[in-house]
Amino acid sequence: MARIRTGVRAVGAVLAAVLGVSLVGCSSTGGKRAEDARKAAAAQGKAAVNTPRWKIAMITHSGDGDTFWDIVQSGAKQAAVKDNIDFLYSHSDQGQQQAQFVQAAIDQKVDGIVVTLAKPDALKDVVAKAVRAGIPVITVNSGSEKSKAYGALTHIGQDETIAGEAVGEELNKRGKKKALCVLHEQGNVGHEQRCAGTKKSFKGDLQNLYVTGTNMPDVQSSIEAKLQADRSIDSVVTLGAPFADTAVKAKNSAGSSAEVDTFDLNAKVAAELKDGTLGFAVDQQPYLQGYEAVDLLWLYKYNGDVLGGGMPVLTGPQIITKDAAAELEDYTKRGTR
Amino acid sequence: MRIPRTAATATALAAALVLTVAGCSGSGGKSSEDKADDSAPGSGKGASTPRMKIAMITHSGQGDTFWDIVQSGAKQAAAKDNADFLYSADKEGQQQSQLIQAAIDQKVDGIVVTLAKPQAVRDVVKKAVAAGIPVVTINSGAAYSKELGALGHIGQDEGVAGEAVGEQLNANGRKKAVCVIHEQGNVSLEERCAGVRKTFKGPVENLNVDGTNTPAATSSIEAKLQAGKDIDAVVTLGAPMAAAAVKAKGGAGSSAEVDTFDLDAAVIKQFKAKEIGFAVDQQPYLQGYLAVDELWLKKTNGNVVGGGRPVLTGPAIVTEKDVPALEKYTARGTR
Repeated sequence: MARIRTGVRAVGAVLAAVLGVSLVGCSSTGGKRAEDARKAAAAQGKAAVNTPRWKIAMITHSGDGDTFWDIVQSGAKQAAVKDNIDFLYSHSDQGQQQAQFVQAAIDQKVDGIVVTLAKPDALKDVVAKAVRAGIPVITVNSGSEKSKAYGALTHIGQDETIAGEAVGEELNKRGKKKALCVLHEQGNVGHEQRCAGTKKSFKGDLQNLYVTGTNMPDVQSSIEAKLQADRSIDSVVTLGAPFADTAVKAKNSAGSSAEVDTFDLNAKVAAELKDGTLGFAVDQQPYLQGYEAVDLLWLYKYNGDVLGGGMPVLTGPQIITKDAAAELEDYTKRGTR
Repeated sequence: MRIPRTAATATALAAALVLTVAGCSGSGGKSSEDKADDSAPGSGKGASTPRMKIAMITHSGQGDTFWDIVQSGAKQAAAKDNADFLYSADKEGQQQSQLIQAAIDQKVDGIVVTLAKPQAVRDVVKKAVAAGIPVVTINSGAAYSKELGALGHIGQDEGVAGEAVGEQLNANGRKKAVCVIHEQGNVSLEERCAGVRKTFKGPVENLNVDGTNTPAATSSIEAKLQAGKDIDAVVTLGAPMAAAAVKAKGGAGSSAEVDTFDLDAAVIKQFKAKEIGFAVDQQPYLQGYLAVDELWLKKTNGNVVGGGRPVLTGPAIVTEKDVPALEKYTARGTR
């Protein structure tokens, strides 16, 4: 499902219009996080295959500066090192621009394409074009329901309903009775699916709370008001890592003892899981989305293999609790979680 | 689930723990000798992570080439992941659990195991998990994987595979099918036929035959096709049974299409002779490859694929048009 962190991430003024070619390995490029990752010995090693040097392009709907996609890239680059692959990355949060990047990859006659379908309508034609040109396509992160129809080999990502169900089960395990599901972007289908999934498996009562994600003070006061009005709410589920912190603030000022749990993981969430500020997190494992996409294209080129049995390959949900958080903290610091 | 090829059961027990060091020198084994140059597991060192040791213990009997394919996938991943790959197998559950115990005693970094005999291996698998060794289950035992504490399961869902067969039969315009069960009481076989029935628009009849007696199985199918001339599709649940069905069809003078689960070199020949319509591959190479790679991902980055559900390596529908590519792969032992 689309990774949309509206309002939190500063939208960069500069559109990423360059098809960034990063030769993987020693010279890998991109972002501050990527530098850290390099230091932390991620994406190192030598190719362990005798297959020719293939070129794989990944084109995402990411805006500038979204570190989620740095993690996806570090997974992709690690697989590319092992698989003797040139990995090319480009992105745009504008559908039309993203489609142009896919076209550029076709023109370059790459050996495989990895693409996100957050804006399926904008990408439909160009993905079909790639498939017609004989270039294998794998979709990641978003667009699972369109993947097959557009001719992709398979889709790799988190199923939002299943992820929601896992949250509901975890809340049951923790003995929660009344939960709040905070939707920070109205009309986002993935968000609705997450809360609906939670409602499905949660034995207690679950209410949806719609907030304006682009206005953090407003988010905080909405949650605070809700917690003040209903003292029996014992858990708050947020749908993105930045909102977890806001929910914690709201909880504190409301004098509530509710547990705050969240979708997605970042370094701050890992630290807060470790110190008990947060109960649990649900990770969709972006590293795996990049890693498996590249590796599955290698498996297809090398051996005609396609994973998934016609169904999406799920990278999430992975429930992360206090115990696992300590280990993961190191990984979040090097940019692979 | 790997359906045992009962008719071809070898008597010797495979009790040796075969150690194969992956990496620079690629892998050993008979099948690798036949490989073309572009197919040998890599010459590089792979990932720069510390060398790890992974043991795979399966329920395979001796001489079952299916497991050679699983191993070639595992060895390729091990080469990429800088891992030592150790393989052992025994079709007797008790022996298999002893081999798992041996892996625990060796303090391996990860275990890959099949759960064809879940009752026999459950305690020792739990022991491995309790010892802090991550376990991945493959091929069989999806239903038991989680409760035994495995990270995840990698294999084909038989119900889903059967459904894919039903859809393919619809696409091929079939009207009446027979599903040949060659091992009575095998739950996986029942699931496959039930899946076919779920999606196929025409009627599906199950036919139980004795898989250990190929001539008898052949005449059972033949009798069925003679009695029901309107049967236009025969689905067999293992590659060797496909040959029996092709023979039976000839004997009965039937024009039914023969389709089968599983893929091997013999099935490729049948494609070329236009004797069968399609095959359903569970991609054993992927089962070995992904299992090893999952253990590497877990160890280096805490990642687990599957979102709490099995990672499906099948069904992959194979038809005659895939044969040119697949022939190369089956010859080198990776499909």
